Amino acid sequence: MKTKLLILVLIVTSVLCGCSVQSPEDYYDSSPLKDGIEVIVSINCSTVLNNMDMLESGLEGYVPNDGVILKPTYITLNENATAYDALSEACRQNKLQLEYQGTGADIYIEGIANLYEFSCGQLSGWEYCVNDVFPSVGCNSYDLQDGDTVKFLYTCDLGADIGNEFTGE
Amino acid sequence: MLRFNSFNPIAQLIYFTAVLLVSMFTWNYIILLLSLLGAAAYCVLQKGFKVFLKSFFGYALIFLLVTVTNPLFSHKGVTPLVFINDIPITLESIVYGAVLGLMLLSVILWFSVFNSVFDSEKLIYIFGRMLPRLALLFSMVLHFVPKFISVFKRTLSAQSDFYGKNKFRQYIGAFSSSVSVMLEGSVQTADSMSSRGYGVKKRSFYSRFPFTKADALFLVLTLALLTGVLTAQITGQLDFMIYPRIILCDFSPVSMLGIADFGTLSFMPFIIELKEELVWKYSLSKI
Repeated sequence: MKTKLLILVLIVTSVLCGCSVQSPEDYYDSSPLKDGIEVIVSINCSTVLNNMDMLESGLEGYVPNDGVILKPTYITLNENATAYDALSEACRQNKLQLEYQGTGADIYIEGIANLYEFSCGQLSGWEYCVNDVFPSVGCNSYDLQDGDTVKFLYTCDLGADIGNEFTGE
Repeated sequence: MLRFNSFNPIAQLIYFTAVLLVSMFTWNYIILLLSLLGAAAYCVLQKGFKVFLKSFFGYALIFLLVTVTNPLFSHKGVTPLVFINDIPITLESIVYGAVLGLMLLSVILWFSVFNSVFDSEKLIYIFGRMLPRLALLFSMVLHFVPKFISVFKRTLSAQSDFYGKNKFRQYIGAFSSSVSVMLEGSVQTADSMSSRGYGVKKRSFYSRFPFTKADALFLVLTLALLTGVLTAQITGQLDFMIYPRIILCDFSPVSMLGIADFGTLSFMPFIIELKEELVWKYSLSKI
């Protein structure tokens, strides 16, 4: 009985030590990096505006009138930062909600600012492009260079409406 | 005496279907809370508070588990409460988990009420004419589990010192002998049934469940109340939203009516039982 309790306490403490717990204020207000590479991040969901009839009910108030969730913003990142790092840093600085699935190179963006995949029809979701090219790798496998322009775009038609038609390859 | 238990099984079955359907498919916290309270009140009246509380702790654990796990997997919602490893735990996902847990809890409780009210005789009464074999098989299977447990317990106590102190061997031994007892029993049942002429002719039925005026009244009341809830549900008056921001359901006359209807529906067994208890109490001779 005592050993079981001890093991339980050990597990709980080790789990707690592995977690950093922050209040929302601390998380959002922690200061950004001073030096490193600089990239431009923007988040846009203007395709939803053409498909308002397909949008999940209740989300109408969460789509900006012009579809711009984040206008092009300079973000400072570490040397070997990925497109995902740029997005998460941009979301943190601008207090945007972000949810993803997976870890490491397999990170998949499910939703940004409460706009999720499948929120606007069966073919909707988030895609990203760097310097107007859509990379065919996950956003946490794409290493950014200084001065890159990263756009996260919401599609309602599997990429066809934002210039990245899915060809089935 | 007019206990809830003694209503006609068909009326009871329709009642349980109505309550369970509404509890399972109406995503409304007030409805779920009423459903939970109605089932809990009936359980308390039947089993007593202490026995109910004992079983309720186990169910409450399920509720807690769902409430705690949902925010770990879902990070939707506009109100982050705390960030753990840069991942937000939001108020909305906790509420979503709680509502889901409430639904599970109330449905489990209603099924436990259903179990205590609906015995195998009632099942045969309802399904015996349509599916005689299946109904018989089903009731025999239902009977098998409690019987096995009681045989197992008796064997275990009889063989308590048979295998020395080794508990594992004790249980295995008792298990093996109770399985053979049960198998033997089923062979005997089959023999006994065929020697009494089971399957020779079409079966006739005797049931002790008349359909009385009280049953008709109960049925009509159930259906009327169900219609009230369904009207409120179909017109969307009971909807409330959790993601991305919690918006409570609005209280229009239709939604109030629906909620009141469901409250009456879920408390109906409790009210019937309570009335009988009181009538019984006050009709006792005071001499």
